[in-house]
Amino acid sequence: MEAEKARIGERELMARLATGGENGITVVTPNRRLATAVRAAYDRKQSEGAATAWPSADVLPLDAWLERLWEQLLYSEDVAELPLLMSVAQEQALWDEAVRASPSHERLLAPGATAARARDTWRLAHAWRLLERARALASGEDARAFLEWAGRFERLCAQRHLLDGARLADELVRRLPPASIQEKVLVLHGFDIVAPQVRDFAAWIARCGVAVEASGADACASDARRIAFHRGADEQWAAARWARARLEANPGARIGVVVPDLSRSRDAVERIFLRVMRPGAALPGAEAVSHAFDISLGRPLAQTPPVADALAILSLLHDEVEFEVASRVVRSPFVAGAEQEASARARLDARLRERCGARVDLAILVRALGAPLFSPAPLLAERLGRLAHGWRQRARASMGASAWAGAWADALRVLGFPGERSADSTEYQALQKWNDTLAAFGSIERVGGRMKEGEALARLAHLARDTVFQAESAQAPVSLVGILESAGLSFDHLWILGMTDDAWPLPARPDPFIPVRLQREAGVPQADPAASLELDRRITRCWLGAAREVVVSHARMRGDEELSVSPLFAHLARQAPEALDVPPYPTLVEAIHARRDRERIADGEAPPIVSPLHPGGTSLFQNQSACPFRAFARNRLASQAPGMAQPGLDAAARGTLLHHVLAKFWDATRTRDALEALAPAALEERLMAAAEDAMARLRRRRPEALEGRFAAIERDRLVDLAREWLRTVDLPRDPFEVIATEAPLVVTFGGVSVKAKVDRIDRLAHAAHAVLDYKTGAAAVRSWFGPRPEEPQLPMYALTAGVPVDAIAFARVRPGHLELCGLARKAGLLPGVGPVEKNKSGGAKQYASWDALNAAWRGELDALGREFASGVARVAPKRGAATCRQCEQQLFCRIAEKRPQVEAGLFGGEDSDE
Amino acid sequence: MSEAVAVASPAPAVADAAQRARALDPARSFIVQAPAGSGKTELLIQRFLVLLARVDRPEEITAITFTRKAAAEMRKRILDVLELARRAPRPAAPHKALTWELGRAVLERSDALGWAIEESAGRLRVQTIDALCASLTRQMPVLAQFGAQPESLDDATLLYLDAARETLALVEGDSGLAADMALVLEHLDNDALRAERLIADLLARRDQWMRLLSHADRRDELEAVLADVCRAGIARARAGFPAGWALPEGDGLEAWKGVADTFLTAGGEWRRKPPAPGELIAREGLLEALRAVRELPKPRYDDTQWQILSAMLRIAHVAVAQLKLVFAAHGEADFTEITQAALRALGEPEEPTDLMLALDYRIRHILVDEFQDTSYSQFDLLRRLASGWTEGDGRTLFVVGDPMQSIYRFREAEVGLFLRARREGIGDVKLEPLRLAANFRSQAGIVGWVNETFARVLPDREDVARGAVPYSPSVAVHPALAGAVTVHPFFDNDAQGEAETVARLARAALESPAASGAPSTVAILVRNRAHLAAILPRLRATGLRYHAIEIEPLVQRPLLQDLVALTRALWHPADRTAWLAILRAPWCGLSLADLWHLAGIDTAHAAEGARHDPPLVCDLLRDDDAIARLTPEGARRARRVRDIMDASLAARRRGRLRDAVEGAWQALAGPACMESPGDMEDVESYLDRLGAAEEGGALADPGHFALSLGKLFAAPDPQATERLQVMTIHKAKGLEFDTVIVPGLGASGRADERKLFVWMERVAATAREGVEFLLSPLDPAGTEPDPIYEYIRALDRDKEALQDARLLYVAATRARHALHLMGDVRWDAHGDVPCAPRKEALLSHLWPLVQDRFAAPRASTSSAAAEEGGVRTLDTIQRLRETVSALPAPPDAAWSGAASGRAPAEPVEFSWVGETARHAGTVVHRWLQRIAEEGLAAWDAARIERLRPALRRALAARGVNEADVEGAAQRVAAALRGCLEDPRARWILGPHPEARTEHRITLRAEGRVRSVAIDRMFREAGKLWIIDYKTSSHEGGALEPFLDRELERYRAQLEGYRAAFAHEPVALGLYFPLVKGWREW
Ligand code: SF4
Repeated sequence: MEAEKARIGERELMARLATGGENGITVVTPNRRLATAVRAAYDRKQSEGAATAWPSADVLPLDAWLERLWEQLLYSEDVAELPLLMSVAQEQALWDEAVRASPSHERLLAPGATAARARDTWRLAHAWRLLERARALASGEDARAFLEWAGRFERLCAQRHLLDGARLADELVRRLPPASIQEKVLVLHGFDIVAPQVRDFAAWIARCGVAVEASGADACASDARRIAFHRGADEQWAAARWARARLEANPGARIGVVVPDLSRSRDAVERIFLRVMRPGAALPGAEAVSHAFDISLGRPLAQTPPVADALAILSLLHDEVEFEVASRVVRSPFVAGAEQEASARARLDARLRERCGARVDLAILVRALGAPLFSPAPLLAERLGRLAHGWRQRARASMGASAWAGAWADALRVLGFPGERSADSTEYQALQKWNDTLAAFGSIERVGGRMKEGEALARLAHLARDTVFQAESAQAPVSLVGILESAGLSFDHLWILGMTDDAWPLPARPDPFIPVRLQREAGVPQADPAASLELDRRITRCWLGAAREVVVSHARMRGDEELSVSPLFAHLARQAPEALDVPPYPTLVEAIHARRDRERIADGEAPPIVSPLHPGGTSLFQNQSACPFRAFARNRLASQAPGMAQPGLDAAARGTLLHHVLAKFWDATRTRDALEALAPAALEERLMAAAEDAMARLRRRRPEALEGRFAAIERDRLVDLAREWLRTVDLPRDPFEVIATEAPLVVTFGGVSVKAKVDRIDRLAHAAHAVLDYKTGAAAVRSWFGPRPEEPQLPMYALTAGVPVDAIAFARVRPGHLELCGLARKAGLLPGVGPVEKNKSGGAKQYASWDALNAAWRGELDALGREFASGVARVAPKRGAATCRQCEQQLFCRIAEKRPQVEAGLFGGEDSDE
Repeated sequence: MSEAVAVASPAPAVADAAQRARALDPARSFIVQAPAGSGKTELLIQRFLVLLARVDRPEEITAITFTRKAAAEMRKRILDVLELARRAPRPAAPHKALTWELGRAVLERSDALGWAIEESAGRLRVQTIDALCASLTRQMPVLAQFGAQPESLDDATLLYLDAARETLALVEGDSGLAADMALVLEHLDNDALRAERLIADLLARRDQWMRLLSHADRRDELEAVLADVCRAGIARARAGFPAGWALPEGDGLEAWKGVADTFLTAGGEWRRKPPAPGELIAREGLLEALRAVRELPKPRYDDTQWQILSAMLRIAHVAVAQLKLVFAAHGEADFTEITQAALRALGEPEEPTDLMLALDYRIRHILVDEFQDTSYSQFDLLRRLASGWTEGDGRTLFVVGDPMQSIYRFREAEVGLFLRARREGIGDVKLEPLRLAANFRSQAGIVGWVNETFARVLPDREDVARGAVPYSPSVAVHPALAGAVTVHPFFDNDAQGEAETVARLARAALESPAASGAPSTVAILVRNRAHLAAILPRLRATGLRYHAIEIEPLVQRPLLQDLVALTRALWHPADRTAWLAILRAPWCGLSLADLWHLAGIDTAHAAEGARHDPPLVCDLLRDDDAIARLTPEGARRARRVRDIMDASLAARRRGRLRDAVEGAWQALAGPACMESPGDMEDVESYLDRLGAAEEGGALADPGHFALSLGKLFAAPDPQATERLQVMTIHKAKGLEFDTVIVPGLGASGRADERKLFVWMERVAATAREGVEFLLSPLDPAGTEPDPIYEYIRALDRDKEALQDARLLYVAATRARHALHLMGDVRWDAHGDVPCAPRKEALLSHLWPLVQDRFAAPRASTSSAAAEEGGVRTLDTIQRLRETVSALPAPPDAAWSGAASGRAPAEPVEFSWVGETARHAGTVVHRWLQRIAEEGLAAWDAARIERLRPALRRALAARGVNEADVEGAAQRVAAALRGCLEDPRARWILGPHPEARTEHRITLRAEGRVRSVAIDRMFREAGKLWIIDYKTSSHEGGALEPFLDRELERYRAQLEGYRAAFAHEPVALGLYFPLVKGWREW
């Protein structure tokens, strides 16, 4: 285009702009970042003088300018019908429809994302005038699929009288009355590559009488160097410190940092710059101030906490969700009463974890909140209840998008969203963006039809994910930009990060939906290796001329890969990092570490217990035996963590169920002979009743864990297992009578009394008694032997059962392992249970007889009790790492630092091969 | 013959020179067996260069490497050659000269065709197979059935678990699948958690069985395979007998098991009483054949077994579909998914996709490195890429590898594919086999030992189905040196003794320079990390620093544990363990007594019921009475933590959890608990993992997060040189060291886990269609092992054992100068003969050869072990001194614009009605502007009426719904009409000197500039009027108070304008067109 001939520099451009807005100069840039930069440069120039107000320069990105022209058309009286120019959300919805209507979409992994890609291709095809040729060629399945979607999109647009951004320029040429154009001079600034569509439009506008010119950044002579760093993070730290040094040296300096692959590394780079510029920024309660740097890219709106919670609330409203989603709602700071009930809700949530399964829905939640619990959160219960009630009355049928938006807004209001805590500036902006997003969602009603709740919610979530949120801040002197946005910018100092040979030049990346040959022929630079290289060379030259000081850096390693410098910068002089002459700027972490000063204090004992009757159960002794610290933590501090909601039942619950079944059965049956006398049907009935009863008991505590088919399977399992146990173990025994099941007991050893529950006491022949303990997991007699018996419960009962006990045994009830396993005064009392003298397990040798064993137990247990009572809380796991593996106190007892790493189970057997 | 051969005489002294030269023939396809140290990378590079000088575009050659690192290295070496060829003269050494010349030819080609190859390294397609697949699917999104490319995930475990959970949830549905799921659950004793894990595990391995699923419903075919197995086993036994024995007729399995029982003991030896006939004992192979008969599976599934198997297979099918949904929801996928998609994109071999269309070039040459570790799908991929290639059409395959080094079964590598490809080619392409023999790496002493040893350790015969690879000898290029291979015996789990020896050897080796004179390198190679348990502490204790990648798990480090505690405490205030832990951590270090006085549940003052639902620790900390019970120092320490945690909790879910944890950690002086600032790298890896697990500033799934922490490893010691490295044998593939130490050979590998169903593909010696695999469900809970299941597992173990021998080969061949092998065995019960190591131990493969080295007298257990065992308990804790608590504050960057963020107003609530009103307001605004521009004279009510269509259009364009447009347009029109009648509006809109509308100006105040648009500005009576329109509407209530409120709301904004025009008198006004309100000041 003609303007190309007379490309003016940026300085010249500024001078022209300064002649005043009356001259009607409009500057158009390829992207928003550049427009902002030009405006800022102009304002800087203006504020050099004393002026406090001046007419703004009319600088805007091309898209925005086209929309402005279209808006003029909207407000002209004499234009008849105009199609509706769609917003991004509307376009996206229409593409979605177009793709989903295609028969092939069901095979695609990600139809939604595909629609977004199709939209990109559509824009490319229009910008480069590829569509007609692609249609003529129609080759390749990918290209054909796209053409099909595009055809449908076009038809839908025509039918519904809609216009999309890709065709806006062409449509303006068709419709805009030349007279209505107010611009007098149009300057295309910073267009390195002018696609045919833009070229045509500029030509047309020139024909309409607007003077069209082109401008670009002035290249300045620069001092460029390159520096290699070990890793990418080192580079980023160095760049941040450099930026700070340059800024402090000259507060007016404009500093640029180019970050390739910004979308991936954004967070890391931001954090590093923040730590360098404001070491204490992360500290709790740190005041929010504007940063010295800004980043040309935000995060998905859906990731901001209030919006994430709003979406969580809406999905809970819609359907079953993962427990963690519901938990987030329960503990969200963005609902009514969140501050007031903060602690109550945390406790409530911990309870819910025990009660609910892996997934919950609103009804379950409301029911659970209504149940008598230890920490009621009445505000929450009331709000959720109202919500559930209100929502049920909502039309579950299809509604238009705006109706959904309204309904959701109402629902959120019921929950008191966004909460009672006052929003900080970022939250405030995020909430506003959220409102915009709801509005944008509502507006897709214009282009699409009605939707069911699920679809509507999915779309809203999508929209919130695709909406980029960047908290606004004042103009910052340091700009972090991606490669694309860096084009045309100029600075005082510029650092280009990450210039390794695999990152720069970029590989060609043709659009997959249009035959590559067409793209290449049309001159799409990304489509062809040679053209793409040429473009990158040009960008490289721009960078090198964009500031007085230019630093190019790259890492030598990424993981275990070695990297070298990009060939496009290989010619630069290589320097050591020291050459930058930047102060070290210690981080907060380094400063804190430098003050390290430690002491070691002896601390293995807690105060003695104050009352002999201890609230802990018999597990107290077990804990004390395994590790005194564990007993202290669990039994005196109630140290425990909220559980993780899991599918189905955990091993403990399944064990409890079986206990109950067998207890219930023997309560009803009493003797072996009664068992034998039971007719099969009666047996079955009794077992079934016992199973139902056991499940009912569990349901009282965890109503949601046992439902539906899963519950039926569990009941059958219980019945089968219990029947098998009775048939193979209890029935073949000599006659016995079950005299106690789940009998409560208070046991005292070494001055500590706890409450206990004995699973079962059998009276055998000759007034002998056996105490049984059902075990669904592993169990071994070995665990009764001292020192420090691992499973002291049965020995405790042997000594305290209130009847003379002649045998104790684990009743192992596990599919495939149904047996009694224990010790007795003499052989023949229980099948498979012999006297300790005959026992072969390790440790049995130390006991000469049943009585000796009992005496030894008494001694051990008293010792454990005394230990506990006196407050001994040593970190001393009995079997080292093996004991700790079953223990959840590791964070608390600090075992990791107490044992040399080796023994900590650090290398504990896990997988290995890589 | 090409000219490549003419110039190719790499090193005349080398034994295999002719083979190497042949490998550079650009017109032919080859499969090269390249044993350890044979310099295959150089060969690959040379061939790449040869081809590069002949193609039209560099992209026409695709080279596939095993790792990204290898790809980067190969690309770099190619570029180095080109650089040398560009700048340096032709070297004199013949093999260097050859490479130089090849590089020269490439440069000529590049210059002639304008590739600018040195600047376009990206055009050299050297990549991993995963990267290749990803690039294929990216270019063929629809064919690949992706649509949009998902991110590739290295480790998708968490998504497998998600998918498994979704699958499990089907049990509550009412499809037929619910019944299947119920059946499977019953089978697993209704252990949902286990079912979930088993399904997730299956999904991780679906690359192996998904191909099989299409056949899986054919019971008859599957049983035919079983029957085939039985028949073959029986036939083998039958053949073992001498002629004339009365043997069972037919193939009755039971009868034959009876035969085996007649002659064999339960332990599988010949019977002594009654003795088995000597005639039989003498028969070679009969013993093995009879043992094998006992292991044979039934030729048929029983009905329940089939029922459960088919249910499992259907579930597996559904699980795969669920996984896809999970992938779609995350926009991520694992490599298996991407490989499958690439296969789809390439099309069936009979009907291949025209790649020319999708790629704009044709792939003409494929080079594959490490071909021995190819999986079925990867093999399939090659087959499809090369489909239709014919000999002499200018397209070639070149695959290089060493079947003796195939060790990646756990990543689905199948060595049989190498063997099969050598026999039959890949798809349509026949491959000419070449074998390299020269060893450029190890001294002759090692090469000799390896030749001798592995000829016996590896099997004699090649067997495609078992993956049996016989030994292929090497010829040393380097001369022999002393101290080549040493075997160090250890006894009775003497881990400490072994560790001591490792440390001693490593130190000695590091201290003596390598033969080349350069500092020597040492590697400690283990089969799995567990074998390093005693060794690493010992190395550290000896002051040896080592470079270890992905060896030491991070989570068990105290530093990390403190961070975990802090994370959990912030995540959940009811996590009591975590709260107690942060009070016990070094930054607080409360004594047990103080902890108990604060939070004890059995204290005198603890409330009734405290046991079940004790108050939260954070609430206790806030309770001054509770704090008062502590010692004075304890109280100070506790209060400090409380203040920090309270501040943190007050700001909970503001920003990211990651940052909150980091900030609290800093505030608590956590960094002072680090041993060195270098530990920060570990902290960063933890925090990054936390960041990745976040969703909207909260943990998306704490369970998953905890799981993922297990996969964090300590960063390599920054102060360690790479001269001493510690790694697994798998990681060492392709590397070499002067000294290699291999401890832990006596230890067994990991036990194999049970799978929901097991399968075994029978790599037929030749490719065939139809069912060629065995399949069995897991046994139901608590029953006898099922013979089919066990048979398949036995096959699997056999393959595993063969691979173990190869693993040993890989370890042994890493050494240039010295190789140390260490194994630990037990003494037998009497303490005078060492027992043979267990079958799963690597040492068992060497045992017959090294047994005599273990005859040494029994060593006493080392002193070190005893020492450590003693120190079990430590009743002390470490903590920071109180003085550390005051935080240093490095200054912020000094810059002019730093200012605190503005205090926000209350957020506006969203309402759809409000939206419409807002849009209407904007439209009114715009038209008022027009009216002012055109002059009031041109406007009357009639014209406003005619505006209707334009109003509707503008409203719709702003997003007002069709249903609301009409109403809104009416309201806009009414407002505009109202303005035309309102004298105030007429004054504002009327003619004035210097009148402007929508005047865009930039203001400067307090060092900041901002751009604003002033709705109306004019001069009147010496004053500059600045007027803004506010289209707030107002319903109900009195108007005047409303206007006053509005005035307050906008006062500051307008005052800002006044300040900018400070040099002249300014009057400010707010006009409310919807209510015809006015305020001025
Ligand atoms: S983790 Fe180990 S040391 Fe710590 S309390 Fe538990 S058992 Fe004791």
